[in-house]
Amino acid sequence: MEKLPDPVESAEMEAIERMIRQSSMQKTSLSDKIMNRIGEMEMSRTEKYAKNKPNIMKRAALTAAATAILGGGLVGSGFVSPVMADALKQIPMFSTLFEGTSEAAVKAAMDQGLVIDPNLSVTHDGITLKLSDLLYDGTRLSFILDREGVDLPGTVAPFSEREKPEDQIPKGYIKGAEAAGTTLLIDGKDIMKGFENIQTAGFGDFSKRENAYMAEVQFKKPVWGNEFELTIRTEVTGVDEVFEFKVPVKIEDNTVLLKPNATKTLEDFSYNVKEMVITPVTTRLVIDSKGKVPRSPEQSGDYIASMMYYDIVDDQGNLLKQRQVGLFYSEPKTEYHVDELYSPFKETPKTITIKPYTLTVNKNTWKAIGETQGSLGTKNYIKDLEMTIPVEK
Amino acid sequence: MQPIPGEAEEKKAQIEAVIERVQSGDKDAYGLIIRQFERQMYTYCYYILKNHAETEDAVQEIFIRAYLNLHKYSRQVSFSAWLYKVAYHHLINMKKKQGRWVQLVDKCMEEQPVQQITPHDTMIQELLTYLTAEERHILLLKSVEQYSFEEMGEVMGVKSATLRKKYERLRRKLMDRVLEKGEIAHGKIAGSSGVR
Repeated sequence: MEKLPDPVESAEMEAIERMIRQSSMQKTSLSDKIMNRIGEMEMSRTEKYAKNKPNIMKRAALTAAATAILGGGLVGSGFVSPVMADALKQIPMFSTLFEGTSEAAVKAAMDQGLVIDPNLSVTHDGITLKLSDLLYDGTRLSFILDREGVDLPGTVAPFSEREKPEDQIPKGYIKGAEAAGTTLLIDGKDIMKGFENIQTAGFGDFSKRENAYMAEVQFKKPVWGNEFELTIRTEVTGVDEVFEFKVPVKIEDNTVLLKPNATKTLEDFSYNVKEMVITPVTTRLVIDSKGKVPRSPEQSGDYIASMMYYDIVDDQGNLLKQRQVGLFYSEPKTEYHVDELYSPFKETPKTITIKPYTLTVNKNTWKAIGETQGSLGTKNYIKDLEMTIPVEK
Repeated sequence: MQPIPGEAEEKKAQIEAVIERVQSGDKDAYGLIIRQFERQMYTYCYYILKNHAETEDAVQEIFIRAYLNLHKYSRQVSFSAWLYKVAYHHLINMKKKQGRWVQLVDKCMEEQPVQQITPHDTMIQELLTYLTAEERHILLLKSVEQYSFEEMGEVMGVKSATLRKKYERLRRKLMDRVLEKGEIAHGKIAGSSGVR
């Protein structure tokens, strides 16, 4: 995507800074605690200053001034409005519903009810939202809302708009789930509440289409069963009525669940494949790892090994596409719980091979060797850590 | 809230006056200083330490340390910048000393039920993941106290021109994240409760 011009960037940056400034999480003042601890302590060499003690009059004047400061402090402390809280949530970015999915897989998914086109539309106050693509496979729920009737550059308000009072935000922006602007209910139960069963949730512009808003929720475990009524409620800035969609969802559960609990070790590093979930539209891999990532000879000096990443290959050698790859500007930690989604298999394979790899990262610039637009960098596969898992249907 | 220049100067003068009182033995006046700065100090420490219990301790330690060293403070720099310098060094030392322990705390945090983390807190944390430790300090100092590069230079002991460059770089990084609209340009962000 094209970079936005600088003024927009500065406004966004200022909004982020303001958000940090206003996000104070301090609940009670620590002043009394600190003053108690200071209690008996003596400031070293205070005698130096003791000579010029201010007189009574001056002291009274100063107290008044200090009270005024406190008042200012309170006004400035601010709070994070729900609208603001919504802002950064568009950052967990996701790609398309069907990325890496073959036509056959989409067809299978549709046959099994995993992907449906509810073709519902709701209009309030001149703005129409259409619910078209919806995906649910027990592991994740995604849908797209197309917006009509308003001409705005994106479907969600930029940071700089969101902090304005509600009545000054342009009409027609879709509000996300964190601000309770989008609510998802399964059989009437709010599934976003408490984020109890949710691994990640993302809400924001859908990159492949103009005026399209996408929501995706990844669940920790399939708890919602195979048949339910999904309710999507969405609020739009400047519109009083809530846009509500009710969709019956019924899926044929063809999920293959593997619990290999298999471990591979090399030097200090070991990983355990806890779980693999295979559905026609998603592959999910759950791994726990421990220990320092092994380094290759070129990963020395300014170059370090990144955290361990895992590729998945089927018995035909087809590589699955990982949905999100987290890149970090820091040295890897020694313990990870990995829970990642990949593109689906073309068909359920007989065996699956996990190929761990690292990237070679320059620790000054945090750029990986071979990194380009569209490529994470040169993958350093670690043959000794490869693992092949049989699939029993 | 951008302070009006005159107002900021006046506030500065008021704080300096309170400091003078403390320096000349009026211990109780220090409470005013704590209440004036603790909120933003808490935010600064929290985003570096990522843990409330540790942050509470750190904020207390910083104010106590500042109190004990108050005789060293003279008006050449603003009291605010001096206080944050104490904080900056305290946080850096903590990180060095307790690197291992901080990591453990980090892990516990991941295991806490997600609902304990407020959305904006999580989101800012997520953004900060993409910055180096030094960049985090720069962004937080600029955010919480709206410092100029000169003031931040005072706090961190780095030339303001260097800080300006570093700030540009971190801004670029964040904007690449924020403005990226889902295409794989540079990899993607991991889940809010997943790998960190």
